[in-house]
Amino acid sequence: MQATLDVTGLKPFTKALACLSKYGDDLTIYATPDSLSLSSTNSSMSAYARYKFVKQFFVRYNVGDKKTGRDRLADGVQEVLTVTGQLLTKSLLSILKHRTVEKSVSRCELSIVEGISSDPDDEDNDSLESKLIVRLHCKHGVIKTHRLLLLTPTSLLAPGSPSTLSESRLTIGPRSVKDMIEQFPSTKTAKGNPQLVWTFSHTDVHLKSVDSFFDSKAGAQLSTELTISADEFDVYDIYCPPITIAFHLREFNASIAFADSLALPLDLRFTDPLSPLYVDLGDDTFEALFVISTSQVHGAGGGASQSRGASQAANGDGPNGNGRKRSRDEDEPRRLANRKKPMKVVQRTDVPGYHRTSEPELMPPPSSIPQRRSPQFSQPHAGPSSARREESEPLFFPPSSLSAPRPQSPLFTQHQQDPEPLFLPGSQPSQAIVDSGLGIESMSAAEFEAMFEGDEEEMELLGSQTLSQKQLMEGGESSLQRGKEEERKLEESETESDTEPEDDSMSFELLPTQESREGDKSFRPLFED
Amino acid sequence: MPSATNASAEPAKPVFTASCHDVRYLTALLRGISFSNRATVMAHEGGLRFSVEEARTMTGDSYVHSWIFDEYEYNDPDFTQSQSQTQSSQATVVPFEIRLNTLIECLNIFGTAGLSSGSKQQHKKPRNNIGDDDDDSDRDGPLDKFFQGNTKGTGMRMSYAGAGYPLTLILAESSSGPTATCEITTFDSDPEDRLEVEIDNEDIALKVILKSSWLRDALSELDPSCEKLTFFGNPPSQSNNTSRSTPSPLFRILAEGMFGSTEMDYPNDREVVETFICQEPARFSYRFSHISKTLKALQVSIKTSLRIDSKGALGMQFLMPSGQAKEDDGTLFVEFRCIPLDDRL
Repeated sequence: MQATLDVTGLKPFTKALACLSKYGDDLTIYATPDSLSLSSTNSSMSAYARYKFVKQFFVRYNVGDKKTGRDRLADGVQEVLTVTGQLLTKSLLSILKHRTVEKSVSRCELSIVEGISSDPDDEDNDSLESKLIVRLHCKHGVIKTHRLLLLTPTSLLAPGSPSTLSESRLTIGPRSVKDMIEQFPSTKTAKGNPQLVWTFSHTDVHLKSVDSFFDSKAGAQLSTELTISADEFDVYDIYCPPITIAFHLREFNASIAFADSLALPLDLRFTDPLSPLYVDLGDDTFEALFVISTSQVHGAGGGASQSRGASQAANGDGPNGNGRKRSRDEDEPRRLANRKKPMKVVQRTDVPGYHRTSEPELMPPPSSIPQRRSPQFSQPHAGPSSARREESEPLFFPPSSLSAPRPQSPLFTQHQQDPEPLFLPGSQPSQAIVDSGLGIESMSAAEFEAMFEGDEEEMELLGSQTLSQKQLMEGGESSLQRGKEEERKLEESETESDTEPEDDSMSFELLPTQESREGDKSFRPLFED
Repeated sequence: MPSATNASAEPAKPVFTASCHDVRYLTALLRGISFSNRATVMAHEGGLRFSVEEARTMTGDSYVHSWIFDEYEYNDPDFTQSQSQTQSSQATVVPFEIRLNTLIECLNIFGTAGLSSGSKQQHKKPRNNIGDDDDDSDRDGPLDKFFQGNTKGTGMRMSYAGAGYPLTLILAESSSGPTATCEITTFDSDPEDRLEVEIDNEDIALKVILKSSWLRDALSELDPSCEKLTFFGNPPSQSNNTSRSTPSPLFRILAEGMFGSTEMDYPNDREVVETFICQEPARFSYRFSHISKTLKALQVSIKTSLRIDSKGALGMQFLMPSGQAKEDDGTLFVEFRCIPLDDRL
């Protein structure tokens, strides 16, 4: 991938990175021939940010080269050329936001060089690792070249879009939101993650600060409430007022700061108190989507069901048979542990979902995305190829949900049904912080199901192999195909060594394995210039 | 302590006394090498020299010439020694050690030894002829240099009575204001212990003189987690390039770390590189954590002269603002010397 930014593009790009860095440490790059997406998810997966820069945002932009073109042919599928990578947001941001950059840089070239290159002519391609190359052309012909190592993304998470039926829509300028939020003293302290409860009624918007257990240290218990007229909003379309949502501000503030710096209005969308809040903004050349989980404001109980769910989950892991199953099971605890560590409550809340509701028609593949990294390192024989396959499909999703629909791709339609669940687990942690998930019991069964259906599908695939396979079969032709593909690949990877290149499709599928493994060893090249 | 001086049999004259009306330039010199607290001070006829070292690999030296002071008086403590030293006035006598940070804090006791207040005027004069486009130059009007004396600074009188005596500072902002007297403990210095990095000036592999802002930006832009910094030099001739399609850059700084690598290429442009002497391609690596120690001095300096001899010993001299209208009289500089990393490792 090559993208060139001029001075005018560099500023919003850097601001976007600054905003992304507030959402999460890791930046996931996803490039298609039409656009470049940068996304970031926070550690508890309760907030997600994605910037999508269309081709026109850049002075020059193209994706793909001979090699990827060949792979594409070999794949034989109508797959869009994509480039993905992951790195620490900070390392890219620190390059671009340095004060001297603004003064002296006239042009910025970003390019991603995939590992395993066979082109000896190209100086940039002399390594086995994937790299993001940032080349800054400064005054007087000074050229600064930064090479950042790219990881293979551990996950490409896609948020769902809220059901438009019951959706509430708001539009407001960044300045106004900022003024509103600044009224709350708790938002001033840099530490902590304050939460506000927003009640949208017919004519007024009511904001209330939330005293949480963690905030109480910060000083006297201070509760602030603010009521403003709905006229403050440019668009005020509440589906069924009054509606109350609550969400944390740390990430939200980052979005506002970004919107403020570019003077772009924010579009807020939400459905009900349990669904995440969506914030859109953008102009002709880029769009940004922020998804922030909301938390339960009131209600009690829920603890019992959570623990029950946990035990169920433990039982559910039992009946797993074959090798493929096993690798997933092993991945799952690691992934869970990783994700849930900040708040253990979440882990419990997350699990019951799987077992309570099992809806076979939901597409499982996206849920398996996050497990990718561990199989590669721990079990190269079975893990990588199957994980890779599953992953390469989801890769397609994130952009597609935003971009104009790409027809005739079954992946896309599946994604439509599916996206939200991926996000849900994240929304629970914050809820758990505030009121230990007490609200669950006050929900209707349908609500509860809706809340967990994503997790359930995700866990299911990972947790019980036979079940998930069956679901795959039932999930429509595409999923059937995919299931078979997976099986085939699995067999292949089990029976064949990783390095057999004869078969074109084989080599493509195994490619990731090779990349990752060689990437592991490839520190050496760095030092032999 | 002064009483002790009088009571003792030692000559009543201190080893050196120095005074100046504005300590900012002195402080800038000292701050530049303040990455290590243990500084060795050597006094001689021509002024003072402060030296520090880091990890037995790198040395930093600040040369405080006598003309930086309004008055400077040096009395050789030992006449017998002085006879042997008359031929070389630069020979250092009676080195002693001092806590450098303490000295800097004392100099800044009124808060007016800061670089930020003074540096702008200091930068001014050299910039006039260089034509620097740095941001502060346009803030200074053409007349600013004439008002330099009006800025409030800390005046100082410093004296050192000899081995075993403290370094005595008398500081005042104005004649009517309060006066601070500081006595800073000194320590014996072991000449054997001092690290001297020799640079073979006859055998220079790479010599670059450039504006400090280039190097400063380069170093400050690098990720602090960098491990290794490599300087590349290629002979400036354009014709006999190597087989590469792209000409090898004249001067390149390469930093490597866990995050990846960063290259900064500088072309053969007078705006960038004022002097560049390199006979054959050269590359030498240094530990970034050492080179980054120079940033403090680099930030206030005007020009940088970077020399690397054929064995890789690196010498960096930073031309510091002197506050003197006349530049011919001499320049203030801070020098760093560093031993290269062994590339075979």
